[in-house]
Amino acid sequence: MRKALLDWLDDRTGYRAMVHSMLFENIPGGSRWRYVWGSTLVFAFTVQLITGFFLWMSYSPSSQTAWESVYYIQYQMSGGSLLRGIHHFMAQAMIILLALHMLQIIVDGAYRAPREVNFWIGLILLNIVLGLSLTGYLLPWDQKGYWATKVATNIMLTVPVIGPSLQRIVVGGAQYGHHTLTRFFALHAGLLPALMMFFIVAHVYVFRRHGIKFKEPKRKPEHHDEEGGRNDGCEHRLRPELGYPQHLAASQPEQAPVPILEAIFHGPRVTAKA
Amino acid sequence: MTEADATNLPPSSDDRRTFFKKVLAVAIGTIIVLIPSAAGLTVLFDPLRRKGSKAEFLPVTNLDALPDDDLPHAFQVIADRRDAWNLYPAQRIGAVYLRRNKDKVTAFNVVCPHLGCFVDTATDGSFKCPCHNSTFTKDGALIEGSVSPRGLDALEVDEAALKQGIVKIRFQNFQAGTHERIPV
Repeated sequence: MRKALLDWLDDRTGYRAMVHSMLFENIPGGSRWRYVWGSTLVFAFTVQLITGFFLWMSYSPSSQTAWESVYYIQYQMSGGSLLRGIHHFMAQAMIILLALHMLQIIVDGAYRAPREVNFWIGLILLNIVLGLSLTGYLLPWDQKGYWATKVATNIMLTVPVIGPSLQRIVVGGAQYGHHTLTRFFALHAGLLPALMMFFIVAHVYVFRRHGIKFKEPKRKPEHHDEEGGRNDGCEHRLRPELGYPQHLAASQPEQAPVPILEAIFHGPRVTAKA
Repeated sequence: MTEADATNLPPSSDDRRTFFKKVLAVAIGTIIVLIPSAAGLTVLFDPLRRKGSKAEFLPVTNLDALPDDDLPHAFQVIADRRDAWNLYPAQRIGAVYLRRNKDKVTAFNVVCPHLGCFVDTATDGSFKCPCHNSTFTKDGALIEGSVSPRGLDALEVDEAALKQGIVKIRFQNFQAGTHERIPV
């Protein structure tokens, strides 16, 4: 009965194929701990979306009422301190996970061709997360948040040409007040989460296009695979259907590409056994 | 249109129709996006449009309450504060250092022109900022080696009121981090 129902749903929506493609990802060489950090960031963001939404239902974004509403959540609503605590500490954790993820990308060279664009999308995501942290910090309208934001927006003043105007727009006037809080809240709960979701989808989509950049195997002089080339983790050798990168200007993969470009994009050559 | 008519049409007519549809799609899409965005951006840039009126003289203290010792003393500045749709009466909007030398009073904004901390005073009447160690003389001039781009911001004293024993200051805040004094 249940299977019949799910079969019907699958026929109408095609959900099984979508769920399968989302959850099952081919990882050559097997899964590794170093690959998990991007996913942990998605989990952290999901937790923030959920806790953020429920905080939103109790928070009042006005300079007259913000501090009081946060106090009420923290001390007088059941589960309020836990909800706010999760949101606060998960935000901290997200920064650490973000650093680990970025470190892994750099150490494993997963920013190199063909993954450059994905790296740039990752940098955009980094900036969005930092923006979320900055805007969220002001929302309780307490001494800590107020003065920390004052420092950050004063630094904004030093941007050449547009600095003072930029600061005025962000602060909502010459003085910090109502409009600072409303603008920061619109960014924190509206624009930045929306941008984050869009760029996460783009990031995962582009990542799946090229597949995981798996760990470089240890280099020994006698190490070679059957084709006589080097297994250096570049899919272009293992997946010839992807084609050779155009910029290396080789019409066929077997032809020797331009040595310096080869070194840049695929690392130094180890002499293959003849 | 009959089928015969449709088949007799030359191909260029279909291309023109397709082109027109594309143009229409782009035009409608542009209007749908541009009009609300223009309205939104106008509201976003509203703070740039509002220029503050010239600051008035605000009473800070009486001349009797200011010691005649040629040393700076800090005083709060109380005034009505407008914040968007709220008017708050009698708020602490800032602070000044006042230094009296017989009949002459000099006033400085307590805010450091570097990045906005409140400066402290030393026993000899000079000023030192606790955040990044900028130092200023008793007259507010920048001492060599400080990171502040300019000296302390002097504020105008109402001479007429001073003769009557009331210290009134044209209180203003200035942009931090610039060589020039630009009021905010």
